[in-house]
Amino acid sequence: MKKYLNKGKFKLLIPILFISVFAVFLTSHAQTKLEYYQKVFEKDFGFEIYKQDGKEKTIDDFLAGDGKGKHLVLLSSSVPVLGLSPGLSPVILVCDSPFSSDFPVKFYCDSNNVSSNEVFSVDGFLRINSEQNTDWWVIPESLLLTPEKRSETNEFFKAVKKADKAPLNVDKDKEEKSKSFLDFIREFSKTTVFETFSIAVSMFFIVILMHRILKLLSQEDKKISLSDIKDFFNINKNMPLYQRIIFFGTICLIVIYLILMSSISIKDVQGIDLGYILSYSIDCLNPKNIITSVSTGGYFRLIVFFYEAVVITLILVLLLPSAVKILKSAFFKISHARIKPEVKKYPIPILILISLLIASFVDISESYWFLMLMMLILAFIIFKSKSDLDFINYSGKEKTWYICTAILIVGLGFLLKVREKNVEIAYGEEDLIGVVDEAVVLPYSKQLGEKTLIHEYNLSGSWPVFVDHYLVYSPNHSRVENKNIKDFKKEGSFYIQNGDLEDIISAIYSNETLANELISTTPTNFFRIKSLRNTGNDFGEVEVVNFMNGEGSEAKKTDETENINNSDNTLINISEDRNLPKPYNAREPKIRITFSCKRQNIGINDVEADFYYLSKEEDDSNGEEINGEKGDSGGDKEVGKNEEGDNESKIETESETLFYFPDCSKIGVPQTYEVDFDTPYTDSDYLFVKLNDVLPEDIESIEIINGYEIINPVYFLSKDGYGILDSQEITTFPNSPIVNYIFGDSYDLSFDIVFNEDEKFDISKPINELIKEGVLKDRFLIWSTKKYLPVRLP
Amino acid sequence: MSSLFVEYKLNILLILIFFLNLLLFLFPLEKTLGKILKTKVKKSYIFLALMILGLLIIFALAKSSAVLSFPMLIFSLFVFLFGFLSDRKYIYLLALISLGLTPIMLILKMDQIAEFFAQTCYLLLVLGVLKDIFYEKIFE
Repeated sequence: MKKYLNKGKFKLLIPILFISVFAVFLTSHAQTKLEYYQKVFEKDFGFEIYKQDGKEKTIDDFLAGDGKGKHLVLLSSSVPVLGLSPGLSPVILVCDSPFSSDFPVKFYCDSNNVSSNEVFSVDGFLRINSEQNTDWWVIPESLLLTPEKRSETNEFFKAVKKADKAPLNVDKDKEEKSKSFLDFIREFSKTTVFETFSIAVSMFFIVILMHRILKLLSQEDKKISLSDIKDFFNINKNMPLYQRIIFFGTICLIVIYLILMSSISIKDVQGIDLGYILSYSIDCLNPKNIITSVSTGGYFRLIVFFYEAVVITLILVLLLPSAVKILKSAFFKISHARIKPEVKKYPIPILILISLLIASFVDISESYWFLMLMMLILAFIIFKSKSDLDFINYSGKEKTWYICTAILIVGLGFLLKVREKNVEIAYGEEDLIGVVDEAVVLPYSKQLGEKTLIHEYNLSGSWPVFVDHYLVYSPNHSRVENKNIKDFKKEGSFYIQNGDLEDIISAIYSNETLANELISTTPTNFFRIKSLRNTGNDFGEVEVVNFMNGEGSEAKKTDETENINNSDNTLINISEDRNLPKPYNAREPKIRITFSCKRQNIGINDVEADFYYLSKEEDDSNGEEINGEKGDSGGDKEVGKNEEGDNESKIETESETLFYFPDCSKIGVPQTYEVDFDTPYTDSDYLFVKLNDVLPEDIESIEIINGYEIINPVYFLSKDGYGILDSQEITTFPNSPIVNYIFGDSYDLSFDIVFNEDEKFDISKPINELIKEGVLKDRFLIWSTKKYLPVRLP
Repeated sequence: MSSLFVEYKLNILLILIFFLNLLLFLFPLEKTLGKILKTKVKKSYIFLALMILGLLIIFALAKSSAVLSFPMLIFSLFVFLFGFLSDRKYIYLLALISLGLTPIMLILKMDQIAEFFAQTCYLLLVLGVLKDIFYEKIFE
């Protein structure tokens, strides 16, 4: 060390050290308030922060996508005079001075408070995380000043982040189907059978690799010679030429691979680390990692993957003759093994009795592998002693003993099954909010254990609470009734839950009152038109709105909504105008969509439409009940009988990409696209269209141009995930019941809201009823109409 | 009661197959069957037919898990029998090699491979001991 630190080097080091220390002090003292908060949010609260450190980065750089996914920290005192530009997201706004903005929602804040008409407030700060890709946190500075407040705010940050991650999918069946195969493989890989199999495979592989060394080492009274070592490596004169080429080629490739991996290890971990080399090699063999690295431009891993694949294939080719040889030897040994006659007598009935015991007492889905193993062992014993089987004799006493034991086992097993059937399922109990976090806000995704109910959970507050589609708590109502949508009546207080679109369309067809209720007065991404291919231009008086070029100007300019409200036969009686003469139709139908462009990036690359229509099928049952057979409350996607009486109708779906969407050119300036509208051929009189991934707010208008006519569609309310499609609150009778209508199969859950002495309601009762009925299982979502409703406070 | 029979019909059928198998080995049922079919029937053939039926029922009850498990079980049993019928010297030598490789892999920080060799060593020792105790009692 002393030798190394000679005078020259020492002179050079001192100024560098001095400058470094000075620089450290210099930077720490030059910290601004903004930089301080950037550090706080990054280190204390775990946010990814977009920093403008020293590189003159501006908000424009951020808007240009420089800090993708990172949060931009802003101080209200230093927000540009022009205000906040739309499209700025994700943002953390620390309010240290009075500030108001109309974007992303109308809000006002100062260093102590934040207020907004929207319901995004969480424990003193605003969380704006809407479907419109806005991710904002507006925090009064006072929440960050004292340790107590800062710690409490941090707990809420964690709770809100967790709530944001809660899955809001409505269609659990689709989700389950999509994950089923991968999950099955993953679960199967954890089974005893697979573990045993993997051990057997690796043992067999080791034997293939080491059979020469084993032979060499097991030679007694013989010295190991050079020829033995050559034989060990399989290099002998009898080796075919192709095998020699493959052998030496593989050795060369392995050497090159080792050099390559060593250099990667030196580059990455500054040394040759065998563990790193091994993990890198295994990583490169994982197709998932390869896809990820290729998508991010990492083609080197792809090259390594192919290199490894070639080396492994060559090794396997080299090992193939050995594997065949060992397999032959194994088959020979097993086929020539002879079981002693006295052994055969007892194991066969004992193995059968064990199998009977397992089949009678244990669930087959859990014990199938054991039964199969027993069968295989029995098969081995029996086929090893085919000729001797006839000579095995059992005494009368032995026979009686075996048969009595078998009857006893089967009888006891049967009694156990009868008892299980009659005895109620023994449920365990767990907390509704199972996490240890100090603060928890809704939505909360609950993972329920098997055969588990919920402990008592008392709730109060002025917001309703739902579990999946079911209303389990409602303030200001004496009774809650969860009913199927087929029972919908527009009376009293009610909620209409969002549901699967096919169920909604089925319900719209079956219930006119509901159809009228779900019509939206403003344009949305879900609308209904008259089937173009079926009827040509025969719109009757229902869907025609106006004619282009003044042609047919005397035609009634009909308000769609009014028309549907007033006509009794609009929805159900749809065959009246079928035989009207079809006028000349020169042009292909087109769709004209005007996007509101309230935000520049709508978040889609193409506009895809899902078409839903009624498909009528011949019903052979003649008079059998069609509707309402599925589940206990009906609501199936079969719409029931139409006016002809003998046809069953089903909702069919088709998808089509309408056009590629290049984003809005300017925010606030609506943009119109007109493209061909190729609708499916259908007998159905109406066609429902849903524009996928487009938010209702993004649609300004939709027009269908069919020949010379312009058709304005009927818009329906639309929502993604769990939520309320429509509601009605009767405030004149505060203690009236509320009905929650559910689409699809549902369970009718009704209960009175009875508060305890603390003015709280125990929501575990309705939840446990749903669990017992099998409505809630595995995973469910607890949510409220107020986002980020706190259910546990620090 | 009838609902119980309906619910467990396949289980009942499987139990019946095992019971028939037991009767087959205790009584000369193949002779009775031979008389009915007017041909010579071997015990092993009836056993094979019953086993195939039993397997189909298990496949129907446990579905894809059972279908996937069956070839795996055959291979595992095959490897076990191969080991059991092999020369005991090979088994113990392989166990010793695995034992020696375990610390080497640990030194090289290949923990997972070291764990695998440790497991292999243990299983080979178990196999060796089982062979020493039972081989001569079971096989000629």
